[in-house]
Formats: sequence, structure tokens, C-alpha cells
Amino acid sequence: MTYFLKMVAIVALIFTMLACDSKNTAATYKWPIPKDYPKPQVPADNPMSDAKVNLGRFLFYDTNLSANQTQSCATCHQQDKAFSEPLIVSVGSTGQSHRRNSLALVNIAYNKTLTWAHPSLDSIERQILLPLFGEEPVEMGVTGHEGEILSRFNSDKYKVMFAAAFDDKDINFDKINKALSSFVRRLISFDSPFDRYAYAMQDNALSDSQIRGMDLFFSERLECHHCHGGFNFTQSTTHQKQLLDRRPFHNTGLYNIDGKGSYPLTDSGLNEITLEPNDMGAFRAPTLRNIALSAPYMHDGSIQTLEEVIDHYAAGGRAAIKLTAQKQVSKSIYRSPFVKGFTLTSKEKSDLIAFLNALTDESFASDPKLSNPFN
Amino acid sequence: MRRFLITLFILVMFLLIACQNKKPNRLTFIPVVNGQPIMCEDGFLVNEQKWRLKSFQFYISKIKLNGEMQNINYDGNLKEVNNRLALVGGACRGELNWQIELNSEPELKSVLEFELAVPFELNHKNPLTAQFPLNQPDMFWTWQLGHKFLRLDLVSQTEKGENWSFHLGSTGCDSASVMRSPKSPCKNPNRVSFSIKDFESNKPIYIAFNNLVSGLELSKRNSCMGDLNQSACSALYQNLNQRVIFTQDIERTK
Repeated sequence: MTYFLKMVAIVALIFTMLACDSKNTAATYKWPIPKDYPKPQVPADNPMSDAKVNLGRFLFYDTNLSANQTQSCATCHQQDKAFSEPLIVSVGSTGQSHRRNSLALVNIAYNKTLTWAHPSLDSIERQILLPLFGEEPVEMGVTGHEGEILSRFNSDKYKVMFAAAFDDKDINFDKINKALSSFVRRLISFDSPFDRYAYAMQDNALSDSQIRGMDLFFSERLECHHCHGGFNFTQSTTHQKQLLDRRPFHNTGLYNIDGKGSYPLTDSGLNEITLEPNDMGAFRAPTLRNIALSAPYMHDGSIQTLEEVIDHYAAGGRAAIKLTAQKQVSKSIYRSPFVKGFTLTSKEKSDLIAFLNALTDESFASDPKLSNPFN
Repeated sequence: MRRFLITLFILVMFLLIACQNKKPNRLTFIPVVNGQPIMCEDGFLVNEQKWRLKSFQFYISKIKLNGEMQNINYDGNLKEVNNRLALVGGACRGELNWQIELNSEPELKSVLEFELAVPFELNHKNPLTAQFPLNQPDMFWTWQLGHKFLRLDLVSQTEKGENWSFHLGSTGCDSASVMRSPKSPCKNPNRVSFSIKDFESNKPIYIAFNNLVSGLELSKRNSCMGDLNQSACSALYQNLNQRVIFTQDIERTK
């Protein structure tokens, strides 16, 4: 009996030590976020560390990660564009076009779900597998070239970085994925003029025009904040203090090709995954942080400027304008009730654009810690 | 060894009895229409139109039982919580939570009182530092207006593109901009108090949808988002104040 109790005590002690140890690692990572801002949730099997973020940064900018060594993650996710790409749709390493516009990588550590329209893709680790290994379309083109690509990282410099990040020198795609995920989680942007006004309480951080634009943005008249609300300007946000599940996807009335609300067959959004008719044309509301940097807009990059985006919403969805032109009366049944149209004076429109520009975080777009380490 | 087992047995029995005694008070809400529960999956008829629920959630605060202020028991995993406030319901595409547990034990019958609101002193604060359950972006307007106290969104299944929403909260709040808090209470606080006499913790509290929208034709035009649409909002406010909205008697929901 005594022996048994002793064993239990020892096992319990070891267990406690291990448990406490893993907690400490996660707790010691210093997120570059202002005091009081909630911390992102991180998977238990990939805690953040500076060494992993550093390795991830090198991998993110390294063209050796694509099979034909022509592209890195940074090809389609450029820092000065808030880690998006100024193309309508991105083109993979073999020249194949993607059907969607490259999303900005801004505060995606907080994303409830990833990509434009997927209800359950909620881990960056799983998302990264798509551009790496995806075959339709080919992006980095890793599939079929795994060994060759891994051997390129068998250099002294990378061995040291892998060892620092994972405590062993073995190089594999699981570690590459975890390091990339850690770097992408580190792409945090909370230093816009809006943040200084709203959260640091600096009254002069925004101009009068920007404040007027902000009041409009949050008005019931324009309804912008219903989908682009919360501290990340997207309802698709999760963090340590918010455990309730919210996965908002919306149809913004971009298309209505048959007068019944249908989207083009090439991309019907969330509907493709859920097969729910009501999910026709539903896409995740992206963050509006740094939105001025990430043109063109919408899931298919079909709107070039912020002015035109506002025109689209003012009309209650671009598709509504086309339909009126064709004298068709039927409205899209899938369009979000918040996309109902509004009228703005030209002054109000320029105020609104001034406010959207106040969401640009210049220090993020030029932060040397996030830049190409090979330069 | 035998003595040990007997002691263990007594301890377990003691624990079981103790736990049974400590079964806490629960408030279980069930939204009903035409006497039937409203579910996310099933449509329901209102004036011969079929509707589907998209989102139904609301805050309740100042919960009292027999005049005594109640705290809410939250899941132990939640770290920073506000025990004086509960968020009930949810959005159909996420999780819905219709039950809250109070930090008190049931009495046979008691008087339950609560406010369908977020108190002013909590309503206009920095949402980033807000404690659960106030850290809910789809229930927050701005610092100026504060939180939505109730959010109800319906989509018509009869008429394409038709929908109806009711977002309740304070209006007429004056501050330097939407990102600044008002210094004094808003002109229309829109906080409504409810009470249920003879409240029994083991029975559900029905939310009478028919009474809430009584006299109002559900349509996009008749949505109430703050104070933009005066006639729809005033009809709804009047129903909230004068009709039976929360009751344990299913007959009174019709």
C-alpha cells in the first residue's frame, strides 16, 4: 500500500511538473500587442517561441520552399501590401491562376476560420498545407517533390535554426509548417491611427474628416460594422477571452447571374463546402485593418479601389445595379440583410475613405522584424 | 484495508449527498412561437409567412430571487467573467446557450426579477478589456451606444430576400465620437425589467415571441435597429413593457 501511494505521488509530481512546464513556455512568449488587447489562442502542440518565429520568417521568404524555386510565401503575401498581393487573383509557381484574391495576413492569429470561405478550417497549421501541397491549383507545388525540397534546407544555417526552434536538428514538413504558422501568427498589427484614437485615447490621432468617417462607418445607416465589427474589423474573430463560437459568412450581392441569387459556378463560396443553399455566395468578412494597402478587393479581386467598394455597398450590392439595368426586379435571396444600400454625399464618401485609411498601420507594413531576412 | 474501504464508502456517500443538496438554481429559457419551441433548423409561421431563426441572443442582469441579487456560475474554464451578467441564446451558425446557473439553491417558489439590459456602468467601456460575456463583437455597437441588449434576426422562407431584425439597446447617447463613452446616461436607456412570480427553478422560462411582435407585421421595413425606425421600435418597446414576454406558463405565450 505504502509502495503504491509512493508511486502515485511520484507520478503525480512528474505530471504536475510537466504540465506546469508546458504552461510556462506558452506564457513566456511576448506577443507584440498593446496592454489589455486580448491574446490569440495558440494550439497546444505548437506554442509560440522567438526561435520558431525566426525560423518561420526565413522559410516564409525562401523560394526553396516551392518545387521550382520560383516562389516563396511572400510572393503572394507582400509586406508592403499588408501581406497580400496587388493582383486580381494570385498565380502559383507553375503559372496556374488561383480563382481567388490573395488575403492579407493581418492578425490572422485571431481568425475564427481561415481562407475566404470554409466553415471549419480553423487552424493555421492546416491552412498552410493548402498552398504548400495543394494540386488544384498548384501554388508552391511541394507534392511529389518533398525529398528534394527538404534537402535544400539541409544547410548549416537552417540546421542551427531548426535546432533552436525544436530542440533537434531533424528537418521535416511538420516542423516547417509549425514554424511558418508561428511566423504568420506573429503578423500582428495594432498601431494604426485608429488604434491610437480608440484605444490609446489620443484625441488628435484622427483628423476631423476621419472621425466623421468613423461615425458613419459605425452608423446603422451604413451597417458596415455588422460584418466588419470588433477590434479586428471582422466578426470572424476569436481570442483567449472569447470562447463562444461565431463563424460569420456573408453574401454581399456581388453576383446574381440568374436573377435568383446564384454566383458563378467557378466560385459559389461557402455553399461549395456546406452544400447548404443558404450559403450561396457567402464569404468570410475579412479584416479591414490595412485595407488601403490590400487592393484589389473581394474574394475574386473584382473591385479595384475602396471608392468602388463603397459604391458597391451603396447600391446594395453590385449585382443589384446590373439587374436594375436589365429591368429585372428579382433580388438575391441570399444577400446579407445588412447589404441594403445607402446614399452618401461626396463629402461623406471622402470622410469614409479617410477613415478606412486611418486603419493603415505603417509600422506593420515596414517593420524590419517582419521583412525579408535574405535582403 | 477493510477499514479503509468502509471509510472510502462513507466518504463517497457523503459527497453524493452533499452534491445533491447543492444543485443550483437554473434559469432555462425556451423561445416559443404559437406554443412551440423555436429551433434553428425548423421554420415557423407568423401571419402565414414562414420564418427561420438566424440569431437570438440577449443579456440579462440585476437578477434577483426574492429580492436578493444573484451571481451566475460560469464554467470553471472561463477566467475573467462578469458574474452579474449573462448572455442567453446565440447565433444559429454557432453555439446557442439557453441555460444559466445561479450561485444559489432553489426554493420551492420564489420571485424572479431581472433586467433585459447591460447596466450603464458596464455598457460603454472598452470592449477589448471587457469580461465575458461582454466580449462579444456581434453584441457590441460602439463605445457611444454600448452593447445590444437583445439581438433577434429572422429570415423569411416564404418571400425571397425578406428578413426582419430587432436590435435593442440604448439610444440617444451623446459623446465626442462613436469611440468615446457618454458621460451621462443616454436619452433612451431602453432597459426593461421583468419579474416572474412563483418562479420554479426546475421549469423553463418561455419567451413569448408572439407577444413580443404582437401588432407588428414582420418585414425588412419593420425592422428595429436602434431608433432609426420609430414606429416599429415603439411598437416593440411597448410590447416589451406591457405584454407577457417571459413566463413559465406556456398558455400565456399564445
